[in-house]
Amino acid sequence: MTIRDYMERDFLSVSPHAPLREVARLFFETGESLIPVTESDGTLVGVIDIDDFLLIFLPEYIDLIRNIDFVHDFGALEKSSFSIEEKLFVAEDLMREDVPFLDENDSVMKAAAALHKLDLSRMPVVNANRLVGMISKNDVCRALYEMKGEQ
Amino acid sequence: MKLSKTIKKSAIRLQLRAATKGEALEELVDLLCSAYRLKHRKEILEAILQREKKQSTGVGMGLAVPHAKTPVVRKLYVAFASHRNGIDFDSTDGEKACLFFILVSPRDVSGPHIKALASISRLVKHEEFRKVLLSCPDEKSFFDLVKKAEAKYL
Repeated sequence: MTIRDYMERDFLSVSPHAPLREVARLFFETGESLIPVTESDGTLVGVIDIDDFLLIFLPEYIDLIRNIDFVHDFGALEKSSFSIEEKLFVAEDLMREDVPFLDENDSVMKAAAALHKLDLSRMPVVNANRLVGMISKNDVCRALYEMKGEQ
Repeated sequence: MKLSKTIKKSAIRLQLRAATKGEALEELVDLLCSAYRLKHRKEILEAILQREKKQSTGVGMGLAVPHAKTPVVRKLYVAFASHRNGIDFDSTDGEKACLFFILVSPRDVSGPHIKALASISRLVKHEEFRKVLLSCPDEKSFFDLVKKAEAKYL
């Protein structure tokens, strides 16, 4: 049983040139936490993680605070507009290139193990470096559940 | 990210000589490379130029933030420069750019690059800060101003 039979084929991706507004729209419309970045020919070049997107908003000191309840007021940061960030960031600036991916001919068990070991909610699936789908923990659980049910 | 702790004193140039965007990018890359003793000037400049092709980093309000990720550096490096008269930088508002932050970081890490760009954005969106930065007389004043603004806005 290979990933090809269970992966999501109807996925959305952005180009490395896409402005921040487009990246944001994709996150909000899909509700996904990981967005693939592809060249125009479909070649996978990286992914954008929602945690990296969140870094645009968060103050540096957050990582130093043990208890968030100590912060009663985020002050200027909360009131700050988004005027420069929208012009400064493109998808490539937010992208992680060292992206783990799977081949569409890999087994579902391999996908399950990779998603579990790497603690990812979903992973890109490629065929000859081109993105052909995305596979999630939900997809592999469905595949494994169906497989066990048939036995 | 605290720019006052990230930028080296020798990575500040208060009067760029460049007259065009191309010259400014070369001068900024030279500043970055000499301040941090970075090799691979050619590759760094190429990465900066490639990023500019995707979208100009002249973000308006007199500010430009040329930046790129490249495999030839191992960590984030930032430099600052100003230009008295400003330079045409294909800015979104058509205004000349007179304040420049340039940064490069490795391709395989995204966090520090994003944090540095976010910090620069948060500081320079305040007109008062941009004004004092432009009239900054020396490197020491630069750090004093940035530290004060970081305490207020970051």
